[in-house]
Amino acid sequence: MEDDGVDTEGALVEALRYDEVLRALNGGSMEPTEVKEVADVSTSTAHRILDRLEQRGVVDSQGSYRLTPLGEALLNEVVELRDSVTKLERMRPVAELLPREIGFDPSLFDDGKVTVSDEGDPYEPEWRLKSLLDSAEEVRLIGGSSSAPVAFRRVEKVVSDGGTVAVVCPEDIASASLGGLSDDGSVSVHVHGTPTATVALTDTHVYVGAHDTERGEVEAAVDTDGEDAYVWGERVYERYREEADEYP
Amino acid sequence: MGMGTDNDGCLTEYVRRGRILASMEEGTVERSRVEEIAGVSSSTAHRILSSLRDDGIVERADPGEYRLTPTGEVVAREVESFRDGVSKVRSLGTVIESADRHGVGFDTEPFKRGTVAASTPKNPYRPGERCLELLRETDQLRLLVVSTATPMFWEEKQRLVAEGRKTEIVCPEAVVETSLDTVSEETVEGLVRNMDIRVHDNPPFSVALFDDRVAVGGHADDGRLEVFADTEDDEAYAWGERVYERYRDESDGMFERFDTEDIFERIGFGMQEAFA
Repeated sequence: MEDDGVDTEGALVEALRYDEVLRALNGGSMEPTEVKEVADVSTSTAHRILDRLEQRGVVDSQGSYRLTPLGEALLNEVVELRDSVTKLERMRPVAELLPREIGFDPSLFDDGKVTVSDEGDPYEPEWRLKSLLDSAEEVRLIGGSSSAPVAFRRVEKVVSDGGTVAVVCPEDIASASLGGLSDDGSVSVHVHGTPTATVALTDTHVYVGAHDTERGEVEAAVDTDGEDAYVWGERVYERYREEADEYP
Repeated sequence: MGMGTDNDGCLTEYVRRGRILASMEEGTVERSRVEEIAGVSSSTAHRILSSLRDDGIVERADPGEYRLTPTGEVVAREVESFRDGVSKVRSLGTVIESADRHGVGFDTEPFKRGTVAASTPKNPYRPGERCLELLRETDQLRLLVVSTATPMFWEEKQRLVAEGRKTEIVCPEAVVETSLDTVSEETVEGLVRNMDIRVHDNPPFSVALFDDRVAVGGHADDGRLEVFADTEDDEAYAWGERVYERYRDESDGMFERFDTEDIFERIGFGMQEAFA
């Protein structure tokens, strides 16, 4: 079989390169002139592309061209790859800002909600965190430098509504924001020198916020109710808590 | 952000660099190693790596050493799985095409997730070997067969059936002929007891229904088994049963096609007793 090594590379790249032609053909049969328009190439190039695809058994021609069943199956592979890379792209602001040691795996969050601070809404990631905490009864939170005001205000609310909260955060934040919390056991606080991200676990969701290194604010965040992501979040939380000291 | 603005170009680039990305999945990789893997000059390696760095796929670990970013790790996995998927789909090409020609629906997806054994110049018997592996583990077997297998495979299969694998086969006349010609004195009794052969002249591809796995076999024009793909998927199994039953319903009993006397003569040893 020709798939034994050498040709794979070329075939893969070709499948991607002529992706738009394949997609167009997926809708039904086409004349070379239509292919020329879709691919935005010259007539002779259109013919060459179609010839190559035909040689590979991806299209066949009876006057006009159509995708073969093999071509359809290959197109599915291309679409899958493209979709997953597009999902990754959405999450890139988060992935790029998170510190490496947190071990973020974007694929766990690929159906999650991404919020990004931008001119239109600089606090979008924090609003998102607020709304997740609003409906939570049990919260575990790693507080990065200053996911502070909104998160910690909500934490107070969760406690006063009878929920439980566990927090790992830098000492200055603990003393500034958590001083007024009750000591009846519904709150546990640990201080950690350098949590460089915000991770919140609510009853249902895991939220990961990446901080801008200069301003300290949450710059981009993603959250999901996906189970694997939640398990990952729990592991991160446990790790930070073990490294942290009890407070006060 | 290369990945966003020029998604198409980037995908091609990632796939082209798939081997480099894969090499980094285990940890950091030196630039000289990248040159080796990609088979390029030092300056080309430098260019490839800086382009991947611009895209946020790769980052510098120590001087001269590179590793994947978290995004890069996922990209590496996705490219790998794309490569694997395309290779499996192409291996299944003969099945896909003949399913289409015969108007039989065929979903590659569950088979892609299972085991796809394709023949290669280095190991042309891989599909047959996989089939035997499964045959050894199963108690029941239903087969829709396009053509005979290699002699070695065939003998082993006869032996397993003779030993007690309850087997139903729907196959073209030529396969029945081979069956008759290869019956040995030791296996004849078991074969008669355990095997039910029916004849269909034009099966689209081979289907094997094991106890809890279903497999499809794709054949070259000359009948050689090119690919054997199996899966545990329930829906695929139900599909396999439907295909098998459709062709069994269209098939003839062996004795409608072959003259009993003729069969006895060809086998030539004490068959009357066995059939009685």
